[in-house]
Amino acid sequence: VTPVSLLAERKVTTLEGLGTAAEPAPIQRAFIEVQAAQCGYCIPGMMMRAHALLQKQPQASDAEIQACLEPHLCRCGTHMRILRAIRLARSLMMAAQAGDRR
Amino acid sequence: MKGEAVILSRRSVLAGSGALVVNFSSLGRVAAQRGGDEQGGAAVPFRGNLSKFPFLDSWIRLNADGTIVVFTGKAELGQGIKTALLQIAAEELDAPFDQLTIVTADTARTPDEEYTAGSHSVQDSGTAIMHAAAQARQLLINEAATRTGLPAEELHTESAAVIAPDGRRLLYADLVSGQMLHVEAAAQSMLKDPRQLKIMQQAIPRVDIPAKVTGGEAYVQDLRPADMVHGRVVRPPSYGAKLLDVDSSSVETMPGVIKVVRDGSFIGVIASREFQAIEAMRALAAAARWQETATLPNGAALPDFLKAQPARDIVVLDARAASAAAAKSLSATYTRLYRAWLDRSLMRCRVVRRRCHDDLESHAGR
Repeated sequence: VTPVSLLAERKVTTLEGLGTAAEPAPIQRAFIEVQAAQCGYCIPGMMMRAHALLQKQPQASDAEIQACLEPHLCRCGTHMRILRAIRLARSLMMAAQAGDRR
Repeated sequence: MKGEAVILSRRSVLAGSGALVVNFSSLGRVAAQRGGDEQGGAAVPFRGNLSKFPFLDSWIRLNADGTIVVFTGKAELGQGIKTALLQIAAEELDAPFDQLTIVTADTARTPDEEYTAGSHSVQDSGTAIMHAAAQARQLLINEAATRTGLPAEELHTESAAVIAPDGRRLLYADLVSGQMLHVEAAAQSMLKDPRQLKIMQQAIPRVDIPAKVTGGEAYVQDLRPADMVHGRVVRPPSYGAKLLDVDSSSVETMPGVIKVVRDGSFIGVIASREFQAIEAMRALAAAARWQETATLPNGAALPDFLKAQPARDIVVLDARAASAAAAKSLSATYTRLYRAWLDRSLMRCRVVRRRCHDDLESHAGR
């Protein structure tokens, strides 16, 4: 856990900064499409960590995704859907990037 | 309760002619009535919490603008009941899923269905909504029958409208009138044959997920009304501990502290910001002196202690069949460690006090 006080002037993005229900970001679209949430308490953390990973490593492997998400726990037991949603987000983000390059 | 005259007249109609009980079996609906009991009378079907809250409009309201509102006293915790209960209501009403919204666990508006626990929401609330929706639909058909002069059994419903054999469509929104659903449920509901289910058979995306993945309002702590203040409670160090004294003077002058509250052995603090309340609570806990007495049973005697406590048995399923006489009987006693299933996250409660009235509105959740 990183206390916000250590971040000083650095820019912080939270779930609210990614997109909205009407215009969801790829990671949000993927979680909605896969229905990858039960109670949802762990989901913002899962999503932000996955989002950060995919921004740094757009082609992160399934094993890299799992390793990256390892510190996050879901007590509802939604892990398999969460992983499926992140894999979908990976392809959505890569498709969007390919579209941008064109 | 208002509208009593309506109830009585409807009751007398039901008791008098029985004209409202119509046969929809040809349209895939079956009367929800089980076989007779041992005395030969008709058994009352299980109708969930409709038995506790028999007025149809406790569960469903139809608005003149076409919107339909479902009410449940159960809370959405991620188990998906908002979606499931909406599916049940839309199915039995024959209304499009998107035309319905749901109000959950609102002390001012929904039936008090007590705990949301034990997988009882669909069973108790869902069954009530299923029957209420089916009966609301029946009342709409009856109204359409009166208006068209056609026999009710010639009418059918789809997409929130009653349809006549000649193709005329009477929208629910036009058929409904103020007190139509403010009636007690009739003894029988014409429920859909499970083979005819359409909306309940679909895997409809959960209505609560978009808010949960976009930082929207999903839980009590997502609510940020203007003028909100935060409270924290100082927990006693052990069960039954009595507060001897607490010098709260230094806590009262801490940043953001609005009030230190003491009521017997209860102490808590109210502050402008959440972390100010946490810091004040910690200081208050450090300043409190308690008298502790051992009141809990000792671990070794726990099985006997637990067995001696008042208990209420609930039969979930009893499918025992008569079996042949045992060839050999074995008897044994097993105990296991007592486990309390407790929430380790913060329980949230939001209370709104309206200055013009003296009423309190409260929301609570994990």
